[in-house]
Amino acid sequence: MLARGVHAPEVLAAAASVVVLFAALPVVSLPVGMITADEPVRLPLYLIEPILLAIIATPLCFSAASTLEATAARRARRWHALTIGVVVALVCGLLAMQPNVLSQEVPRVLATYLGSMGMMLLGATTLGQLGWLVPLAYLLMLSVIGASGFGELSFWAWSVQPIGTAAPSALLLLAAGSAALAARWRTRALTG
Amino acid sequence: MTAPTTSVPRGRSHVEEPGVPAGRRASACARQVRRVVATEVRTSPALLPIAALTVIGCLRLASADAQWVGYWQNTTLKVHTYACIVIGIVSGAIAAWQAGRSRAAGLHPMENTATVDGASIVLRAVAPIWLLATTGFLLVLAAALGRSAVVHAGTPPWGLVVMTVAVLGMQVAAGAALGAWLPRRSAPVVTIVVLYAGGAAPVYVEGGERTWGRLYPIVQQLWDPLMREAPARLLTASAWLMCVAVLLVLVAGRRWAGVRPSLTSLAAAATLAAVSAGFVLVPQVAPGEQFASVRGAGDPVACTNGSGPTFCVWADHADTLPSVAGAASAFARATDGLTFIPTTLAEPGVARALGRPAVDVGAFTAPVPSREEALAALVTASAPQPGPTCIGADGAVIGGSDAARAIPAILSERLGIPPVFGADSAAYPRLEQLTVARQNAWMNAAAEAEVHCAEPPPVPAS
Repeated sequence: MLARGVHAPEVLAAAASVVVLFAALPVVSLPVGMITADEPVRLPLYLIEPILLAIIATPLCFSAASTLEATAARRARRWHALTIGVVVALVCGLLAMQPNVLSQEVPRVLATYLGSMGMMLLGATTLGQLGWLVPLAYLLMLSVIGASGFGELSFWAWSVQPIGTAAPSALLLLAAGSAALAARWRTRALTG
Repeated sequence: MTAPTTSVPRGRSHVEEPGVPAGRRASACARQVRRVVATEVRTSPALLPIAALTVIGCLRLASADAQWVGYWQNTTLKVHTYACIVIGIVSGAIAAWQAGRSRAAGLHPMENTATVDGASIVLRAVAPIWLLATTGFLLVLAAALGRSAVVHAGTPPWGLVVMTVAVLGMQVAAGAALGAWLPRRSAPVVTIVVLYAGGAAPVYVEGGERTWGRLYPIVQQLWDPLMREAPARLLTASAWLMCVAVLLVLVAGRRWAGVRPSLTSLAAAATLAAVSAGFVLVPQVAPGEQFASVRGAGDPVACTNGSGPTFCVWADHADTLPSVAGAASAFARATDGLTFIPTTLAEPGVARALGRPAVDVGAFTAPVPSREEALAALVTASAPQPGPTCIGADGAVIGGSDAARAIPAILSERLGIPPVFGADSAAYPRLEQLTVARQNAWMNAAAEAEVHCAEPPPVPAS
């Protein structure tokens, strides 16, 4: 019931549809730094997919019974957090099974998803139900101003940095997002 | 006794009540619209995100070491791309969210009995987003053009500015239509995908940008200096985009069953959009050409027109002019009072096309030279040279004295750049000790002597 209350089935269904759609799309790459780079870096389409999946996951943060959760005698919020975790794990599984992603690129895809989830959680705690705007703005700015010169990546373009930088950045973002959500839950209901 | 009640007929607002003079009605109506717009803008969820994107755009375009600085066309194109892809898609997604706000808040049944139609309800929700997006675009444009204006005077391609505003309107209207008809949670995602894929697809399909891609015209190439905007095509595209925006708002308004816009107005808007689409699609654009620009039939030679020496290049290389023009102004200030500075400098071969004498400066090492490189070229080209008659009996050039070599070193010092050459001249340390006026007098005399194959006068004691 809690899973339905935080729209987990819808989010999972939408995520599965997106994964199927991207698996069917041709292998193309999009430019990074369209207006600031003389020679834009190319971003494979499968690295955009995790950001879109994080955007889709925004309703997970908003329970239909958020006020009840905030005042419940039982620790309803733990179950809410667990539900989010289960959905994230399932989506990670779907992403790892993508047929058009090379095996050595799977860690980057997963890191991009987890980092984008972190950005979405940060957005949800600051912008409410418009929390998806944060990963969306990141994606759009990445493609337009994410690099300069001959492919020098901007410092904030964490998802396209080498995996040694991208993975810790993603985990840091996820930790920051989770902490922000937990802090918000402690103080008041997240109603958007 | 109860107070008399007044009923307002359907489709008529309170400010249109009979008995109120037309002038007062109009001003009251304008006041009401202003108040509504101000309230909607102030409370719009787009305010914070668009303000943030505007600040980021201004900072990024103001700080980046960029090739477009000084070129008004390319500056406008860069901001156009930023506005359409970043601000526009975010605005469209927020519009999709906002279009579903009355259903989410349970106000839909009330709005179905309103005195205005569904299109007006949609417009009230999303027009402030367009207003904010347009303001954001214009602010980023002002910041980028301000940076270009420091280097080079010019005007932006106005047709492109108008078209960008129209693209933003269409993106917001598309978001409104999708938001009105789709579930609230999925509408923004569908809008993002539609607007992003619509902008990217023409680039990946052969010939897409110059054919069907014109219907969603996000210009993603730069224009070389010989290209000019095609105002007729850009304004036609703007008209098409506005017609589609109106059509999409009417389509969104049909979601309010009780006050849906009439089919007649929908048909009229669809007809207008179809006709304007025809005007956009009919002009043929040859392969290799762009829809938004045409090749100008200009002069093969382009020259600076600011203060200082005139600098001329082949028109294909006109992109070097803005940085050279800035350097030429600084050079003119540093060489005030010197009579031997050439008035016209040119790239190799340009003097013949110009039909007047010009000093050859050679080719620059970079596509757009830095200020320092441009100043060094000006100093080198201004160094006094022996005249054409200074040829000895053995064919060797007479002149090129050691003292005259100090002149470029002094000019470099005045401009604050490393000495181009001549710092090792014996005359240089003594010349450095003189006042600017005495330096000028000696340099004029030395240059005159150099041209006439004579030895320059001795450097006076300080």
